[in-house]
Amino acid sequence: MKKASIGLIALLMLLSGCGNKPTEEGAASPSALSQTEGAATSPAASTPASETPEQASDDGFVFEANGISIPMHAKAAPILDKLGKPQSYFESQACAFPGLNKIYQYSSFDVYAYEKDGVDYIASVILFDDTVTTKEGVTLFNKKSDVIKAYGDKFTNNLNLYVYDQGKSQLRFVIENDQVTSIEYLAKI
Amino acid sequence: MLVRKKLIIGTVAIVLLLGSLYVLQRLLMPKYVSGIVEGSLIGEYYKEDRKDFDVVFLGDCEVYENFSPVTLWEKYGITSYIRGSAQQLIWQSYYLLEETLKYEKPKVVVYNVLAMKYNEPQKEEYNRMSLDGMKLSAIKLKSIQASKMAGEHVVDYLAPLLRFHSRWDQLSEDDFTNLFGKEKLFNNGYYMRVDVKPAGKVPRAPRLPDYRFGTNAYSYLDRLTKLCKDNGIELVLVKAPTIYPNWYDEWDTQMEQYAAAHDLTYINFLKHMDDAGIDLQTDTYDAGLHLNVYGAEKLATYFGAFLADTYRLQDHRTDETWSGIWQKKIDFYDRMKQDQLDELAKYGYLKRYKAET
Repeated sequence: MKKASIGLIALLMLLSGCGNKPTEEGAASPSALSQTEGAATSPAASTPASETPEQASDDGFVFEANGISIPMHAKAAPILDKLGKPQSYFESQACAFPGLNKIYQYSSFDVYAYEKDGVDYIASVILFDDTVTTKEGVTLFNKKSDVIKAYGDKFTNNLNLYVYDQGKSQLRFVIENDQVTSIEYLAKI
Repeated sequence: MLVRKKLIIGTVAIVLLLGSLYVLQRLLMPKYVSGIVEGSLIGEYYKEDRKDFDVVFLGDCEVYENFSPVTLWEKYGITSYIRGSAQQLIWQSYYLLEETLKYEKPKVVVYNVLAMKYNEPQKEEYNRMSLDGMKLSAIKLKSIQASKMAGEHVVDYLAPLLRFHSRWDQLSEDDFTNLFGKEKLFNNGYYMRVDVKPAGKVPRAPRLPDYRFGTNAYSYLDRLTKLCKDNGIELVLVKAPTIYPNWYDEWDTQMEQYAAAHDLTYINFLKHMDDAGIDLQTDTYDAGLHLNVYGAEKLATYFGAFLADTYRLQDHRTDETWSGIWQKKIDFYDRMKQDQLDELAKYGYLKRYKAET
């Protein structure tokens, strides 16, 4: 009986000091390509509180449009100001999660933003035609060899998806029949 | 005598300790009674006194926000319950049906197929909303096993105190007032919203690396189909009429083919919006992601006619017992609707759901 009591007390003590929630740091936020319900396009819910999204944007991939740099995790407002009025705007509330995911559509690309503590940050940029290129010169409809020439062979590959990691960002190519059919910049959680 | 005294003291100590742990766990677990209320959906089912429903819905927000069980009753005398939860994955739906069959055997099960796009566990927070509300059973264990994220353990879900013990500094009044019971928040699993936010232009659908649903998702759809067939239950696959996230044509084709191969009915309500009279300028509260109560009533009216005719569901409105039960549900539904309308008039948004935009 005494042993059982000690065991239970030990369990209680263990509970008081253990088991913080496992973080998802290091994993990529679910891609906007998968268009999951709201929160999934937003790294906000899982970004460690001690790390500001701005700090995370320093060394990642950067998309450039008309000379305007769009780093992942950067504050969205100044970038959106420079980009001008989008063709359309869409916002969605995640199922059962606070915060809005915001999508700004420009003629050749869409900018996804996530909200954290009332501030919007860049979550993703998806290219939709070949009038825009990555900073390293890859466009839609290029060949796989063009991608490897620009970014090297250190990618992870799953089916048609080729993913390059850099800092707190990913650059994701869908390549079908040796042709790039989708390019997405993505903020990692 | 001394041994007996020690035994009594020891037993009392253990009972007190276990009781304290139980109360502590109840206190520290999220209550989901304001703001994010969806975590209360699964647990509310057990409070139903009579569970022999004609129709049980399974799936994610596309079921619990888009079909009104009260309308199914009022128009057709169909009794129904929505066992839905936020981002409910297909293995969670499967195990929820297994568990539901311990209580009842519905004539029809309706499964919304959006979750077929997920082949593996997605997010702990969503898992919690589907799993924590389930009663402890071997079925819950299996659902946890299928749902846990990498790095998580079954015990994290079985003993939520392990996971939530550090919540002590976030406790609010809700945690104390709902310590041993929660007020009713839903209408037979339906999450009501009266606000309106018209749908505009939805984002372009990006190209996907692979449009095929995963083998794990398919294996659970197979099991869901078999479980229904083994129990003489009609399984109806549906896709709710919400326009974002995008439902790809390639996905639709796969569901059509699956239904045809397994002799099931599949209804993509996106193709029946006009027939149902759904207008996304007035019938959605979040620009087309989910229907509001007006849309959910229209969809239930449209779908109910199909269910009643196709499966010859009995009209229970002449049954005094059922009528009494459902009258209370209607009263609750009407009160909730009026309360929300009042709140909307007062604040311009639904304060309870922190729906300010």
